[in-house]
Amino acid sequence: MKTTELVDKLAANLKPVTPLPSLPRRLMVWGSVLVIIFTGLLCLVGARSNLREVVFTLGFVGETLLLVFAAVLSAAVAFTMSVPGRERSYTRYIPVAVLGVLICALLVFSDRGVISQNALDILKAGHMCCLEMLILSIVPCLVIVWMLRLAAPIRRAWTLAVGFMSSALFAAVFMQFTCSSTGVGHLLLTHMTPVALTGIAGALLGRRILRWELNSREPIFDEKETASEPREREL
Amino acid sequence: MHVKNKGPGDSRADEGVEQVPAGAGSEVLEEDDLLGDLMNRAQDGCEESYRELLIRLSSILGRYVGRRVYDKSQVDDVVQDILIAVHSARATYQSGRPFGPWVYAIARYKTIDFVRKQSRIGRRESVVESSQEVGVASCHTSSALTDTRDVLEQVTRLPENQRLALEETKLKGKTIKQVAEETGMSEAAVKVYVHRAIGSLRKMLEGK
Repeated sequence: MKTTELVDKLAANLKPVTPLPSLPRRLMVWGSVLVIIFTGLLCLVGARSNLREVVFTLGFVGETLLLVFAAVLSAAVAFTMSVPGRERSYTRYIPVAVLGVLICALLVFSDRGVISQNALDILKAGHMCCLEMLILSIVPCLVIVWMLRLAAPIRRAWTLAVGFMSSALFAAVFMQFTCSSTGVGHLLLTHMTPVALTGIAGALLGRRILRWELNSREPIFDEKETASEPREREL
Repeated sequence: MHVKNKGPGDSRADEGVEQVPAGAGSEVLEEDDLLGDLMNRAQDGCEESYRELLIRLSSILGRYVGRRVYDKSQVDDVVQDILIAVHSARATYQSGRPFGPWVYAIARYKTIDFVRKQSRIGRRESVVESSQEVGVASCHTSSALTDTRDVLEQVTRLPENQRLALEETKLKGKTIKQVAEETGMSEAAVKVYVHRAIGSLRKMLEGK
């Protein structure tokens, strides 16, 4: 097929599209969905028993604010990366840096008494937290995948890794209100490990899940045969 | 490898995306407002604006890809891939933002994607071709003759398109272009069919 023919075909198949909403709007939608999900869940599950005692402590407020900040920032980076030409070369490293800062801050803010515990003991005691966080991350991950697929991410692996990290960080915020443990070892091993795991899962799945070139169901893609994607049914 | 020296940041898709690739953005930047305006109208469904946009983009992208891909016969294919990607991603262009970085990010991504695929295909094909050459050179021996017969027998079992592409190019010695013209397939498709035919043959012979 000649390029002029393709141009004619593309133009003939043109349909009006709604431009992607701006970054703040997408963030607001994402945040609203998560707030609704987690508030509903909190009403169902109930808050932690010692919430009244810790809610105004510096440690709790600091941790929660940092987690919210990291989650929102990660989501903002994922949404930015999903639009071609908007990303700077350093953008994708921001969430990783923030996560590093968050871990350092946890060490500063949190109760230091538990840090001396054996990591294996902490994991054994808190493995349910780890599991809960992974389960809690599933729906937000699905929501962010849907939102990212509306755009056209160039770096698919990074974009989904950061998006999944954001989802897990929101789950970590939720856990702040339901998990009674305050030990820094517990927070680092059972609340931050799922964040890292979901990030890795995003990096592994991103290339497949966020393939926007094949998303379109417009007729042109059934007819066009390219070097990169020849029609399988003919082979 | 069909890539020219592409400058910093071009060697891997996972490296930093510059806002506008060096030495390639002048054309778009000069027409940035016009192209952005055409895309805005295209998003509303204006066919004429879209056609004009794609025609302008074709020539700009042709120059952009031509500087990065050595094999000139492939430039059109890459440009077409980019145009399809632009078509798929047109909803992500935001009114009022510069058009150049948006389109070049897509162009760069598709060009690198193409180059990677070509280098993978090239590596695989060269291995098979060299083994075929070895087979032809030593066909005086009876075992080599048997091997050749086996290969030809397996060729007949290939799917129609693959068999046709392989026979015309590798056995009859026609060029990709000639086969494309005769069969009505695109050149890119012929290459892919040949590549897949060789892969299928290899599997068949390994399984034998």
